[in-house]
Amino acid sequence: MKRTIVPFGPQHPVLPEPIHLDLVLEDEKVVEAIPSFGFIHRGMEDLASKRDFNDYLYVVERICGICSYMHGMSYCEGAERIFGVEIPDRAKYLRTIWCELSRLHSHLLWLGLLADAFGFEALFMQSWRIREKILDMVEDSTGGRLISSVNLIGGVARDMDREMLAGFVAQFDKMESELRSLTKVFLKDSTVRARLFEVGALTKTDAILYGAVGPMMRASGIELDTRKLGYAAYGDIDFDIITSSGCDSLARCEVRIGEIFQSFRIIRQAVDKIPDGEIYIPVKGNPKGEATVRVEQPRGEALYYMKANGTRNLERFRVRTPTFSNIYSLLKILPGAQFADVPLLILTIDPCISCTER
Amino acid sequence: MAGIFKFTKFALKNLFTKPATRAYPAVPARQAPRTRGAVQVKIDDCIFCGLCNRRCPADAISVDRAAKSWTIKRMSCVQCGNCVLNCPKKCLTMEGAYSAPDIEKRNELFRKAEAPIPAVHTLAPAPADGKAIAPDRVLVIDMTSCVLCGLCARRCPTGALNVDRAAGTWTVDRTACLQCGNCVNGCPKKSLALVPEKDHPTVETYTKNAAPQVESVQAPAAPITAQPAGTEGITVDLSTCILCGLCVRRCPTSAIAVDRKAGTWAINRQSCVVCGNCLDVCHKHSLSKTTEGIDTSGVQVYTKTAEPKAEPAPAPTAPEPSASTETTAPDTPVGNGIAINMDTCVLCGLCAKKCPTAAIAVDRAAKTWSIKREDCVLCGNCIAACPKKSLSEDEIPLLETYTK
Amino acid sequence: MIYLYRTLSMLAYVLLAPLVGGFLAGLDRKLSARMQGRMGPPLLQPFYDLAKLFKKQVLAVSRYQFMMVASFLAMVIGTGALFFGGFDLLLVFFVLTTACMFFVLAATVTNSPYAELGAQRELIQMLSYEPMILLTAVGFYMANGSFRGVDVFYTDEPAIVRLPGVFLGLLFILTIKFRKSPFDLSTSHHAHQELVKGVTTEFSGVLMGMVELAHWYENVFLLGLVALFFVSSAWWSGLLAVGAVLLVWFLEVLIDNTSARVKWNHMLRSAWIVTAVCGGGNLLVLEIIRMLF
Repeated sequence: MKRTIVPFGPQHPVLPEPIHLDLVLEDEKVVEAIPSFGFIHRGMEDLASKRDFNDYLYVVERICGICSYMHGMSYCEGAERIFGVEIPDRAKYLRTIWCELSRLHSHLLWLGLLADAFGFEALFMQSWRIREKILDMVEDSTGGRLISSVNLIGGVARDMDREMLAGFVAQFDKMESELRSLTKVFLKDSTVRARLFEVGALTKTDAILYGAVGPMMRASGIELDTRKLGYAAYGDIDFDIITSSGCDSLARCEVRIGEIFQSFRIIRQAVDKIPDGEIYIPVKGNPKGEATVRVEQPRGEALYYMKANGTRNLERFRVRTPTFSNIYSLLKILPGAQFADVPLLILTIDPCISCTER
Repeated sequence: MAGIFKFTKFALKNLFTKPATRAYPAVPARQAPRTRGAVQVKIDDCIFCGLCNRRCPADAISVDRAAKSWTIKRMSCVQCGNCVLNCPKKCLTMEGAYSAPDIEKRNELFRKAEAPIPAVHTLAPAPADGKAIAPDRVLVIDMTSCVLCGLCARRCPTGALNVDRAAGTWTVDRTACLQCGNCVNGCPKKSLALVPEKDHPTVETYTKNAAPQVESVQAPAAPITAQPAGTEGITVDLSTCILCGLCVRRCPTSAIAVDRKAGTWAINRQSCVVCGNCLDVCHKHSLSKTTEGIDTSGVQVYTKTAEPKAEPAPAPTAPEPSASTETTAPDTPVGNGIAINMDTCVLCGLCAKKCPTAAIAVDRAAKTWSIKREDCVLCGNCIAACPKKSLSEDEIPLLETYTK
Repeated sequence: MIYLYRTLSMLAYVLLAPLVGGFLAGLDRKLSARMQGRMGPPLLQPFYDLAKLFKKQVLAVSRYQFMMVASFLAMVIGTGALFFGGFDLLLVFFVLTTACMFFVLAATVTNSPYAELGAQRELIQMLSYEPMILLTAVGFYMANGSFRGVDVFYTDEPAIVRLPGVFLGLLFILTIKFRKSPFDLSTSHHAHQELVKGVTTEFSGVLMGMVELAHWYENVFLLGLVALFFVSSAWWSGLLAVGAVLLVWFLEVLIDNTSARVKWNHMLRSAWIVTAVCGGGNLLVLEIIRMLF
């Protein structure tokens, strides 16, 4: 059987991220996938020893554009834990709202890219049209569409007053109904279903064995969500863990769509429960100690480790991103797939190579 | 249930409604009130403190105090807003403007326009009418507290001040004075003030009535006995002193010398004006003003672990090795290992940081330096990293803990 | 007299088809953009693109590429010219097949993995639509008693009356021929697929320009084939044909924007099922009617 090797990436019109895979094909079937990484490594962790820990926050935010908000927030969380300060409750709720907005925009982006991967450009444009409204909300509240620069060690820099929050929630009804029609296309259209159903199945055992995280893991029936740890204001918010037992790409699509609607509900709850008060308490001095923070990024569980030794620079800052864990699952589901499914499968792990390689 | 062409209603609806995209750049981009655009500076309010320069994570801003200019590299700026947040005068803004795309990387320079600084500093004669050039605030000095240390002259960005210790005079050139307040902030005696007074001459000289403390700079040959009571001077408590040398750097008259190898702290009493700057800066609070045991004729040398003794020579003498407080156990193996001189060690912890096997641990509170000999691979990273050159590789008894 | 019309028609096709094809391509892009909620490029953008392509530096991967692509272009023009000249439909379809073979060969000689996979998919596409194309020719013979295209002008009623099934089958495979979703497997207008640009990956500059031009000629020919079902000796049949062509073209654009791309096994299976049911069924019914009456 003749085998050809097709190089896939790091620059490829269908790839959202610069991952490189050498695909060994027999006709159109993938036999093996050999990955190469490191194309976008920028040495951002090393900058921790060169920048004042207050300024390094802005570097951390820029590890990735899509996951930007939670990177910044987790860094501040870690620093706050090292200092041993408790930020005001209002700041916690504001952070929660921004986290969920970040999750919304990320999942809508993912939906669009998924549609693009199976050749449905019109659906891609429609998903991103809804996403634009979310980005406008983020811009109105923080000043930037993707990179918000609104977290500070000790709280947040900007407030969202009652009027602004009410304005956002007022837009949600229309967006939710539009999304309901749109997600019907994703889940029910026959050509879309032909591309997603029973493609790239990852059993529950394999998901645990290969260390899948996030929606990838939840679509294989594992009920875990790092938000249940209760960081920011998640401890006060009531929400379920969205899972699916399908184990295939359609299930992952279902889980992410479920999380989109859940984010709307969480933001509504947070807006109802948000207390008045301060949004920032100043933190003085240099940090000394270490902290580990785990948050639920849109792509899965991300782990942040910070070590400080009493000087202005952190000694070590380390991020373990969800995509790093999910890549093993990707390499498990690729062999045996059709070549036409490869971009789709790469997208189902929601890769963020920018975060992974820093 | 699966269906076909479920997207049709979206497609047809989009066909008959306005497109969602914007014909940028014909139509301007959407801006919110809080949108972070290009950084703009209100240069007239800027005091050129340079905080924005230090806070910028991309090193995009540079501030030139002397030239009164503020420069930004537009293509380096990542629009994080850290500079805006940290500016003490709130003269930086970001709303409403954005960096236009360009084909080359430009620097934008903003300069504060003002009267030109005199190129050569001379004492100009006072104008006939005796009116001050800057009528709103003038710099005045209280010569009774001034010690003529000269810190104000050193801190003045325009060289408007001149201190002559020999003559006992302090002079200000009011045409050059910017009223920036640097000298006022820096005076250890708080003798200076910017007051809303008028009617001062352009150049003004104040003379100190009291005679200067120092008569000559020659040290007598014979050992000095205790001086008459009441002569105040700086003394050091070497049990807490870590010989870091900050007092040396802060002394405006360079009266202090610290020799780490020798373990000595020396002060030239004739140069010392007892301004107290060294007291302020000492982190260990080892310095104090006292009237006892002060010999103002020459240099006094204090040696660590020895009684403060006065030396006849103007420079510190050769060191005597100070006994460390480590004890040698009878059955400690002797071999090749990293040796530390605890007298020069300041417990900064750099060696611990650079150690690739994490063999070294530094406890500043307990004043101990410890090494796990079995983890140490003798790479020499710690020796290279030590700023005080306290570490070396030597044949020594291989102890694991050393205390200062 | 008819020979004059036929010659003029052939000449008109050779000269005007690029303009019509390019304009339709521009309208296609504008309409697709509007369906997606975008503004879309100017209507004449395909012409600007073609001009730009011809001005670009040629980076040919293999020395045989130019010969293959030129043959492809020449054969497509030949197909259309023969068709608009009213010649034998079977001849027309086989010349078209030959043209497509040159296209596939042009991609295969490049030794590029993407182009080779695209060429393979193009061959599977041909496998999917060829039966229906041939059944169309057979259908015309069974309806009008002749394979010659010009003979439709002598019939009383348009061919659609007797060949509705064949028409539907043809519409199905037209989506493959027009390279639109759900069947834009081998190459598509957007490079957002795993094969990069598929068959046309290694074509650039003048070569790509020739391929674009060939596609415009081909599109005009295919729309002419649709029109063939609606013309008859009546004077108003021409208007009917134009209306039908525009409707079919609009439907193709709509279908492009409302479906995802399917995999080759789906395409092959569904095309053959439609061919058998619609095309084959129609012809079976015609045969039965002929036997009974």
